[in-house]
Amino acid sequence: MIRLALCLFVCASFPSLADSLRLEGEAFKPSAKVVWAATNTIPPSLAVYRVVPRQFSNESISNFLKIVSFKPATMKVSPDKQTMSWQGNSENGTLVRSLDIMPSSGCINYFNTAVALDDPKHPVTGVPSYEEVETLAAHYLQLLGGDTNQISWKPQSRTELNSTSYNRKPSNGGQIISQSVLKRGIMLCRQIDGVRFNSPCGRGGIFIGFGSHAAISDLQLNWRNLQALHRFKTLSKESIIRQIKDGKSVIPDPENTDTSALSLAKKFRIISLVPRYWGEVGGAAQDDVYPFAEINIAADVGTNTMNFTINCQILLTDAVAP
Amino acid sequence: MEFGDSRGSRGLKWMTIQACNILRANNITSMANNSKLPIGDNLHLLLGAASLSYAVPNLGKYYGSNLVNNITVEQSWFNGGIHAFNDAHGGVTNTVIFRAMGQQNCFGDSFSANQPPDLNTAFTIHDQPVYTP
Repeated sequence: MIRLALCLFVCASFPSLADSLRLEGEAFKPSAKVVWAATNTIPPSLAVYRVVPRQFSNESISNFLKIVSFKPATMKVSPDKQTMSWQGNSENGTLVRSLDIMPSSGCINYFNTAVALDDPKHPVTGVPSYEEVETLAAHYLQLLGGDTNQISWKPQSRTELNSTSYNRKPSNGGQIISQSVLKRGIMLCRQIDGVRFNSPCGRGGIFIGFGSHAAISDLQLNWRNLQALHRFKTLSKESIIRQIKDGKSVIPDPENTDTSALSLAKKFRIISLVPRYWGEVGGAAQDDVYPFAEINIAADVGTNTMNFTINCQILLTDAVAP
Repeated sequence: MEFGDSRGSRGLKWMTIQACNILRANNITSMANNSKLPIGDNLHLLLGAASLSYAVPNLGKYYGSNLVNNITVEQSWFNGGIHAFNDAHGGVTNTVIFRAMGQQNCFGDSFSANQPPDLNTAFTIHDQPVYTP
Protein backbone atom coordinates (compact mmCIF):
# COMPACT_ATOMS: atom_id res chain seq x y z
CA MET A 1 0.00 0.00 0.00
CA ILE A 2 2.83 2.35 0.87
CA ARG A 3 4.57 1.41 -2.38
CA LEU A 4 1.38 2.10 -4.35
CA ALA A 5 0.93 5.46 -2.62
CA LEU A 6 4.54 6.41 -3.43
CA CYS A 7 4.08 5.42 -7.05
CA LEU A 8 0.93 7.52 -7.35
CA PHE A 9 2.69 10.46 -5.73
CA VAL A 10 5.57 10.29 -8.22
CA CYS A 11 3.20 10.00 -11.17
CA ALA A 12 1.08 12.85 -9.89
CA SER A 13 4.12 15.06 -9.35
CA PHE A 14 5.26 15.19 -12.98
CA PRO A 15 2.38 14.14 -15.20
CA SER A 16 2.42 17.25 -17.37
CA LEU A 17 6.18 17.08 -17.85
CA ALA A 18 6.16 13.45 -18.95
CA ASP A 19 3.34 14.29 -21.36
CA SER A 20 5.12 17.31 -22.74
CA LEU A 21 8.36 15.50 -23.66
CA ARG A 22 7.33 15.46 -27.28
CA LEU A 23 9.44 14.01 -30.07
CA GLU A 24 8.76 15.10 -33.64
CA GLY A 25 9.21 12.71 -36.55
CA GLU A 26 8.37 9.28 -37.86
CA ALA A 27 8.31 6.44 -35.33
CA PHE A 28 11.26 4.07 -35.63
CA LYS A 29 10.97 0.46 -34.56
CA PRO A 30 14.12 -1.47 -35.39
CA SER A 31 13.72 -4.83 -37.05
CA ALA A 32 17.18 -6.03 -35.99
CA LYS A 33 19.52 -6.01 -33.03
CA VAL A 34 20.53 -2.65 -31.53
CA VAL A 35 24.01 -2.42 -30.00
CA TRP A 36 25.83 0.38 -28.20
CA ALA A 37 29.02 1.46 -30.03
CA ALA A 38 29.18 5.07 -28.86
CA THR A 39 32.26 6.21 -27.01
CA ASN A 40 30.87 9.42 -25.55
CA THR A 41 29.22 9.47 -22.14
CA ILE A 42 25.71 10.56 -21.19
CA PRO A 43 25.62 13.41 -18.64
CA PRO A 44 24.30 12.07 -15.31
CA SER A 45 21.53 14.68 -15.11
CA LEU A 46 19.94 17.42 -17.20
CA ALA A 47 17.58 20.27 -16.37
CA VAL A 48 14.15 21.12 -17.70
CA TYR A 49 13.39 24.83 -18.12
CA ARG A 50 10.09 26.68 -18.05
CA VAL A 51 9.48 29.37 -20.65
CA VAL A 52 8.47 32.63 -19.00
CA PRO A 53 7.37 35.66 -21.04
CA ARG A 54 10.29 37.86 -22.01
CA GLN A 55 10.07 41.59 -21.84
CA PHE A 56 12.68 43.25 -24.01
CA SER A 57 13.68 46.38 -22.12
CA ASN A 58 12.46 49.72 -23.44
CA GLU A 59 16.07 50.76 -23.77
CA SER A 60 16.90 47.71 -25.92
CA ILE A 61 13.96 48.28 -28.23
CA SER A 62 14.59 52.00 -28.43
CA ASN A 63 18.27 51.52 -29.28
CA PHE A 64 17.52 48.86 -31.86
CA LEU A 65 14.85 51.01 -33.52
CA LYS A 66 17.42 53.79 -33.86
CA ILE A 67 19.95 51.41 -35.40
CA VAL A 68 17.50 50.13 -38.01
CA SER A 69 15.92 53.58 -38.53
CA PHE A 70 12.34 52.84 -37.57
CA LYS A 71 10.26 55.23 -35.49
CA PRO A 72 8.16 54.03 -32.53
CA ALA A 73 5.20 55.98 -33.89
CA THR A 74 5.00 53.87 -37.07
CA MET A 75 4.57 50.64 -35.10
CA LYS A 76 1.66 48.34 -35.89
CA VAL A 77 0.37 45.75 -33.42
CA SER A 78 -1.05 42.41 -34.54
CA PRO A 79 -4.70 41.63 -33.71
CA ASP A 80 -3.63 39.14 -31.02
CA LYS A 81 -1.37 41.85 -29.57
CA GLN A 82 1.61 39.47 -29.62
CA THR A 83 3.64 41.11 -32.40
CA MET A 84 4.91 44.65 -32.92
CA SER A 85 5.74 45.38 -36.57
CA TRP A 86 7.41 48.03 -38.66
CA GLN A 87 7.74 48.02 -42.44
CA GLY A 88 9.41 50.13 -45.10
CA ASN A 89 8.67 49.98 -48.82
CA SER A 90 10.63 51.18 -51.82
CA GLU A 91 9.13 53.72 -54.22
CA ASN A 92 7.67 50.93 -56.37
CA GLY A 93 5.97 49.26 -53.40
CA THR A 94 8.41 46.41 -52.83
CA LEU A 95 8.92 45.55 -49.16
CA VAL A 96 12.59 46.29 -48.46
CA ARG A 97 12.67 46.59 -44.66
CA SER A 98 10.66 44.76 -42.04
CA LEU A 99 10.87 44.30 -38.28
CA ASP A 100 8.70 42.01 -36.14
CA ILE A 101 9.13 41.77 -32.38
CA MET A 102 7.33 39.08 -30.37
CA PRO A 103 8.23 39.80 -26.74
CA SER A 104 6.39 36.84 -25.22
CA SER A 105 8.53 34.33 -27.10
CA GLY A 106 11.74 36.37 -27.21
CA CYS A 107 11.60 36.46 -30.98
CA ILE A 108 12.77 39.21 -33.37
CA ASN A 109 12.79 39.05 -37.16
CA TYR A 110 14.31 41.82 -39.24
CA PHE A 111 15.63 42.28 -42.74
CA ASN A 112 16.77 45.15 -44.94
CA THR A 113 17.50 44.30 -48.57
CA ALA A 114 18.56 47.87 -49.33
CA VAL A 115 21.94 47.41 -47.62
CA ALA A 116 22.96 44.56 -49.93
CA LEU A 117 21.67 45.69 -53.32
CA ASP A 118 23.59 44.59 -56.39
CA ASP A 119 23.59 48.00 -58.04
CA PRO A 120 26.63 48.93 -60.19
CA LYS A 121 25.92 52.62 -59.59
CA HIS A 122 26.11 52.15 -55.82
CA PRO A 123 28.40 49.18 -55.19
CA VAL A 124 28.27 47.49 -51.81
CA THR A 125 31.38 48.22 -49.75
CA GLY A 126 32.52 47.55 -46.22
CA VAL A 127 30.92 44.13 -45.76
CA PRO A 128 32.48 42.83 -42.51
CA SER A 129 34.67 39.73 -42.41
CA TYR A 130 33.41 36.66 -40.56
CA GLU A 131 35.60 37.59 -37.57
CA GLU A 132 34.01 41.05 -37.50
CA VAL A 133 30.57 39.47 -37.94
CA GLU A 134 31.16 37.37 -34.80
CA THR A 135 32.06 40.47 -32.79
CA LEU A 136 29.04 42.35 -34.11
CA ALA A 137 26.75 39.38 -33.44
CA ALA A 138 27.84 39.30 -29.79
CA HIS A 139 27.32 43.07 -29.54
CA TYR A 140 23.78 42.98 -30.93
CA LEU A 141 22.84 39.91 -28.89
CA GLN A 142 23.85 41.74 -25.71
CA LEU A 143 22.01 44.86 -26.83
CA LEU A 144 18.83 42.77 -27.15
CA GLY A 145 19.23 41.16 -23.74
CA GLY A 146 20.76 37.83 -24.78
CA ASP A 147 23.57 36.14 -22.88
CA THR A 148 26.71 35.61 -24.97
CA ASN A 149 27.83 32.91 -22.51
CA GLN A 150 24.97 30.82 -23.89
CA ILE A 151 26.26 31.00 -27.46
CA SER A 152 27.74 27.88 -28.98
CA TRP A 153 30.39 29.43 -31.22
CA LYS A 154 31.34 26.19 -32.92
CA PRO A 155 30.14 24.69 -35.09
CA GLN A 156 28.45 27.69 -36.68
CA SER A 157 26.64 27.95 -39.97
CA ARG A 158 27.86 30.81 -42.17
CA THR A 159 26.40 32.53 -45.16
CA GLU A 160 27.41 35.17 -47.67
CA LEU A 161 25.66 36.50 -50.74
CA ASN A 162 28.08 36.34 -53.67
CA SER A 163 27.48 38.12 -56.95
CA THR A 164 29.18 37.34 -60.27
CA SER A 165 28.40 39.60 -63.24
CA TYR A 166 29.12 38.98 -66.92
CA ASN A 167 29.17 41.61 -69.68
CA ARG A 168 26.96 39.37 -71.78
CA LYS A 169 25.20 36.11 -71.15
CA PRO A 170 27.96 33.46 -70.74
CA SER A 171 26.40 31.44 -73.55
CA ASN A 172 27.04 34.41 -75.84
CA GLY A 173 30.70 34.61 -74.87
CA GLY A 174 30.23 36.83 -71.84
CA GLN A 175 33.24 37.40 -69.61
CA ILE A 176 33.22 38.03 -65.88
CA ILE A 177 33.30 41.76 -65.23
CA SER A 178 32.88 41.77 -61.46
CA GLN A 179 32.66 39.54 -58.42
CA SER A 180 31.61 40.80 -55.03
CA VAL A 181 30.24 39.83 -51.64
CA LEU A 182 27.00 41.70 -50.93
CA LYS A 183 26.44 40.54 -47.35
CA ARG A 184 27.84 38.11 -44.82
CA GLY A 185 26.26 36.50 -41.79
CA ILE A 186 26.39 33.72 -39.21
CA MET A 187 23.93 31.43 -37.48
CA LEU A 188 24.77 30.86 -33.82
CA CYS A 189 23.02 28.19 -31.79
CA ARG A 190 22.06 28.80 -28.17
CA GLN A 191 23.25 26.31 -25.57
CA ILE A 192 22.30 25.80 -21.94
CA ASP A 193 24.65 23.96 -19.58
CA GLY A 194 26.70 23.13 -22.68
CA VAL A 195 23.72 21.51 -24.45
CA ARG A 196 22.76 23.01 -27.82
CA PHE A 197 19.26 23.53 -29.14
CA ASN A 198 18.04 21.25 -31.91
CA SER A 199 18.73 23.34 -35.00
CA PRO A 200 21.35 25.81 -36.29
CA CYS A 201 19.51 28.75 -34.65
CA GLY A 202 15.84 28.80 -35.70
CA ARG A 203 14.75 27.03 -32.51
CA GLY A 204 17.13 28.82 -30.17
CA GLY A 205 19.87 31.21 -31.20
CA ILE A 206 20.60 34.09 -33.50
CA PHE A 207 21.13 34.56 -37.23
CA ILE A 208 22.55 37.93 -38.11
CA GLY A 209 23.91 39.27 -41.39
CA PHE A 210 25.52 42.52 -42.47
CA GLY A 211 25.69 44.37 -45.78
CA SER A 212 27.23 47.64 -46.86
CA HIS A 213 29.21 49.41 -44.12
CA ALA A 214 28.23 46.71 -41.61
CA ALA A 215 24.55 47.70 -41.62
CA ILE A 216 22.30 44.86 -40.47
CA SER A 217 20.80 43.04 -43.46
CA ASP A 218 19.18 40.17 -41.54
CA LEU A 219 18.36 39.34 -37.94
CA GLN A 220 16.50 36.33 -36.65
CA LEU A 221 16.58 36.07 -32.86
CA ASN A 222 14.99 33.17 -30.99
CA TRP A 223 15.81 33.66 -27.35
CA ARG A 224 13.10 32.48 -25.01
CA ASN A 225 13.30 33.55 -21.40
CA LEU A 226 14.03 30.39 -19.40
CA GLN A 227 13.72 29.57 -15.74
CA ALA A 228 15.16 26.33 -14.34
CA LEU A 229 12.34 24.00 -13.31
CA HIS A 230 13.80 20.63 -12.26
CA ARG A 231 16.94 18.65 -12.82
CA PHE A 232 16.41 14.98 -13.66
CA LYS A 233 18.66 11.98 -13.85
CA THR A 234 19.25 10.64 -17.35
CA LEU A 235 18.52 7.21 -18.72
CA SER A 236 21.22 4.56 -18.76
CA LYS A 237 22.42 3.27 -22.11
CA GLU A 238 20.53 0.02 -21.48
CA SER A 239 17.30 1.99 -20.95
CA ILE A 240 17.92 3.98 -24.11
CA ILE A 241 18.41 0.80 -26.13
CA ARG A 242 15.18 -0.52 -24.64
CA GLN A 243 13.33 2.66 -25.63
CA ILE A 244 14.60 2.28 -29.18
CA LYS A 245 13.66 -1.42 -29.33
CA ASP A 246 10.18 -0.56 -28.02
CA GLY A 247 9.64 1.86 -30.89
CA LYS A 248 9.73 4.97 -28.70
CA SER A 249 12.29 6.85 -30.81
CA VAL A 250 11.61 8.85 -33.96
CA ILE A 251 13.40 9.68 -37.20
CA PRO A 252 13.28 13.50 -37.23
CA ASP A 253 13.76 13.92 -40.97
CA PRO A 254 12.07 10.94 -42.68
CA GLU A 255 11.96 12.94 -45.93
CA ASN A 256 15.74 12.67 -46.17
CA THR A 257 16.11 9.12 -44.83
CA ASP A 258 15.66 5.97 -46.87
CA THR A 259 13.41 4.32 -44.29
CA SER A 260 12.54 1.42 -46.60
CA ALA A 261 16.19 0.32 -46.64
CA LEU A 262 16.24 0.19 -42.84
CA SER A 263 13.93 -2.82 -42.82
CA LEU A 264 16.74 -4.78 -44.51
CA ALA A 265 19.29 -3.96 -41.81
CA LYS A 266 21.02 -6.84 -40.01
CA LYS A 267 22.17 -4.71 -37.10
CA PHE A 268 21.88 -1.15 -35.78
CA ARG A 269 24.93 0.36 -34.09
CA ILE A 270 24.58 3.45 -31.90
CA ILE A 271 27.58 5.53 -33.00
CA SER A 272 27.02 8.64 -30.91
CA LEU A 273 24.52 10.18 -28.54
CA VAL A 274 24.34 13.94 -28.11
CA PRO A 275 21.89 15.66 -25.74
CA ARG A 276 19.93 18.54 -27.30
CA TYR A 277 17.32 20.95 -25.99
CA TRP A 278 14.00 21.00 -27.80
CA GLY A 279 12.95 24.42 -29.12
CA GLU A 280 9.86 25.17 -31.14
CA VAL A 281 10.29 27.06 -34.40
CA GLY A 282 10.42 30.84 -34.24
CA GLY A 283 7.73 32.52 -32.21
CA ALA A 284 5.68 29.35 -31.66
CA ALA A 285 4.32 28.90 -28.15
CA GLN A 286 6.27 26.57 -25.88
CA ASP A 287 5.69 25.79 -22.19
CA ASP A 288 8.84 23.87 -21.29
CA VAL A 289 12.28 23.44 -22.82
CA TYR A 290 13.50 19.90 -22.23
CA PRO A 291 16.43 17.81 -23.35
CA PHE A 292 16.33 14.75 -25.56
CA ALA A 293 18.94 12.46 -27.10
CA GLU A 294 20.03 12.91 -30.71
CA ILE A 295 21.43 9.54 -31.68
CA ASN A 296 23.49 8.75 -34.75
CA ILE A 297 22.98 5.18 -35.89
CA ALA A 298 24.85 3.06 -38.43
CA ALA A 299 22.65 0.42 -40.00
CA ASP A 300 24.47 -2.56 -41.46
CA VAL A 301 22.53 -3.21 -44.67
CA GLY A 302 24.17 -6.05 -46.58
CA THR A 303 27.69 -4.92 -47.35
CA ASN A 304 26.78 -1.24 -46.96
CA THR A 305 26.47 0.98 -43.93
CA MET A 306 23.69 3.52 -43.80
CA ASN A 307 23.93 6.36 -41.28
CA PHE A 308 20.84 8.08 -40.00
CA THR A 309 19.64 10.04 -36.98
CA ILE A 310 16.95 9.26 -34.44
CA ASN A 311 15.69 11.24 -31.45
CA CYS A 312 14.87 9.57 -28.17
CA GLN A 313 13.92 10.53 -24.62
CA ILE A 314 16.88 11.04 -22.32
CA LEU A 315 15.31 11.93 -18.97
CA LEU A 316 14.27 9.62 -16.21
CA THR A 317 11.33 11.84 -15.34
CA ASP A 318 10.52 10.17 -12.03
CA ALA A 319 14.05 10.70 -10.70
CA VAL A 320 14.79 14.25 -9.70
CA ALA A 321 18.52 14.88 -9.45
CA PRO A 322 19.93 16.84 -6.52
CA MET B 1 14.66 23.72 -73.31
CA GLU B 2 14.24 27.39 -72.53
CA PHE B 3 12.10 28.90 -69.79
CA GLY B 4 10.19 32.13 -70.33
CA ASP B 5 8.48 33.41 -73.44
CA SER B 6 7.83 36.63 -75.28
CA ARG B 7 4.22 37.27 -74.20
CA GLY B 8 5.34 40.19 -72.08
CA SER B 9 3.52 40.47 -68.80
CA ARG B 10 1.56 37.27 -69.52
CA GLY B 11 4.65 35.13 -69.98
CA LEU B 12 6.60 33.14 -67.42
CA LYS B 13 8.79 35.54 -65.46
CA TRP B 14 10.40 33.48 -62.72
CA MET B 15 11.16 29.79 -62.47
CA THR B 16 12.21 28.09 -59.22
CA ILE B 17 13.25 24.45 -59.15
CA GLN B 18 13.92 22.86 -55.77
CA ALA B 19 16.15 19.91 -56.60
CA CYS B 20 19.69 18.86 -55.85
CA ASN B 21 22.38 20.49 -58.02
CA ILE B 22 19.82 21.85 -60.50
CA LEU B 23 22.00 24.97 -60.97
CA ARG B 24 25.36 23.37 -60.11
CA ALA B 25 28.20 25.70 -61.09
CA ASN B 26 30.07 23.25 -63.35
CA ASN B 27 26.89 22.32 -65.19
CA ILE B 28 25.87 25.95 -65.67
CA THR B 29 29.33 26.73 -67.04
CA SER B 30 29.13 23.78 -69.40
CA MET B 31 25.65 24.81 -70.56
CA ALA B 32 26.88 28.35 -71.07
CA ASN B 33 29.90 27.21 -73.07
CA ASN B 34 27.63 25.22 -75.35
CA SER B 35 24.90 27.87 -75.67
CA LYS B 36 22.46 25.69 -73.76
CA LEU B 37 21.57 27.93 -70.83
CA PRO B 38 17.87 27.42 -70.15
CA ILE B 39 17.28 31.18 -69.95
CA GLY B 40 16.20 32.98 -73.09
CA ASP B 41 15.77 36.72 -73.44
CA ASN B 42 12.45 36.78 -71.59
CA LEU B 43 12.77 34.88 -68.33
CA HIS B 44 13.51 37.32 -65.52
CA LEU B 45 15.15 34.96 -63.03
CA LEU B 46 15.93 31.25 -62.74
CA LEU B 47 16.26 30.09 -59.12
CA GLY B 48 17.30 26.82 -57.53
CA ALA B 49 20.10 25.05 -55.68
CA ALA B 50 23.73 24.95 -56.79
CA SER B 51 24.50 22.09 -54.41
CA LEU B 52 22.81 19.18 -52.73
CA SER B 53 19.55 20.29 -51.17
CA TYR B 54 17.15 18.72 -48.71
CA ALA B 55 13.42 18.41 -48.20
CA VAL B 56 13.18 20.78 -45.24
CA PRO B 57 9.63 21.19 -43.95
CA ASN B 58 9.12 24.96 -43.95
CA LEU B 59 10.81 26.01 -47.20
CA GLY B 60 7.64 26.37 -49.24
CA LYS B 61 5.84 28.19 -46.44
CA TYR B 62 8.63 30.74 -45.95
CA TYR B 63 9.24 31.24 -49.68
CA GLY B 64 5.55 31.72 -50.36
CA SER B 65 4.91 34.06 -47.45
CA ASN B 66 7.87 36.23 -48.45
CA LEU B 67 6.62 36.40 -52.04
CA VAL B 68 3.08 37.42 -51.13
CA ASN B 69 4.45 40.02 -48.71
CA ASN B 70 5.99 41.62 -51.77
CA ILE B 71 9.60 40.94 -50.91
CA THR B 72 11.82 40.55 -53.99
CA VAL B 73 11.69 37.14 -55.62
CA GLU B 74 15.41 36.60 -55.12
CA GLN B 75 15.35 37.64 -51.46
CA SER B 76 12.26 35.51 -50.86
CA TRP B 77 14.06 32.43 -52.17
CA PHE B 78 17.18 33.07 -50.07
CA ASN B 79 15.17 34.07 -46.97
CA GLY B 80 13.04 30.96 -47.37
CA GLY B 81 16.12 28.77 -47.61
CA ILE B 82 17.94 30.31 -44.68
CA HIS B 83 14.96 30.26 -42.35
CA ALA B 84 13.88 26.74 -43.33
CA PHE B 85 17.38 25.32 -42.84
CA ASN B 86 17.75 27.28 -39.58
CA ASP B 87 14.69 25.40 -38.31
CA ALA B 88 15.78 21.98 -39.52
CA HIS B 89 16.94 19.51 -36.93
CA GLY B 90 19.24 16.71 -37.92
CA GLY B 91 20.06 15.09 -41.20
CA VAL B 92 21.57 18.03 -43.08
CA THR B 93 25.22 17.15 -43.52
CA ASN B 94 26.29 19.22 -46.55
CA THR B 95 26.63 22.87 -47.40
CA VAL B 96 23.49 23.98 -49.21
CA ILE B 97 23.86 26.80 -51.73
CA PHE B 98 20.89 28.55 -53.28
CA ARG B 99 21.32 30.39 -56.58
CA ALA B 100 19.46 33.03 -58.59
CA MET B 101 20.48 34.02 -62.13
CA GLY B 102 19.30 36.48 -64.76
CA GLN B 103 19.82 39.99 -66.09
CA GLN B 104 20.90 42.38 -63.34
CA ASN B 105 17.89 44.67 -63.67
CA CYS B 106 15.55 41.81 -62.66
CA PHE B 107 17.06 41.16 -59.25
CA GLY B 108 14.79 43.83 -57.77
CA ASP B 109 11.67 42.06 -59.10
CA SER B 110 8.80 41.51 -56.72
CA PHE B 111 5.28 40.28 -57.50
CA SER B 112 3.93 43.82 -57.64
CA ALA B 113 6.83 45.60 -59.33
CA ASN B 114 9.04 44.05 -61.94
CA GLN B 115 10.56 44.80 -65.32
CA PRO B 116 11.48 42.78 -68.39
CA PRO B 117 15.10 41.70 -68.75
CA ASP B 118 17.33 44.48 -70.07
CA LEU B 119 20.00 42.78 -72.15
CA ASN B 120 22.21 45.85 -71.78
CA THR B 121 22.63 45.14 -68.08
CA ALA B 122 25.05 42.50 -66.84
CA PHE B 123 24.04 38.87 -66.75
CA THR B 124 24.34 38.08 -63.05
CA ILE B 125 24.53 35.04 -60.81
CA HIS B 126 23.90 35.31 -57.06
CA ASP B 127 24.94 32.44 -54.81
CA GLN B 128 24.00 32.23 -51.16
CA PRO B 129 24.90 29.35 -48.87
CA VAL B 130 21.76 28.89 -46.82
CA TYR B 131 23.34 26.30 -44.56
CA THR B 132 26.88 25.21 -43.78
CA PRO B 133 27.49 22.28 -41.40
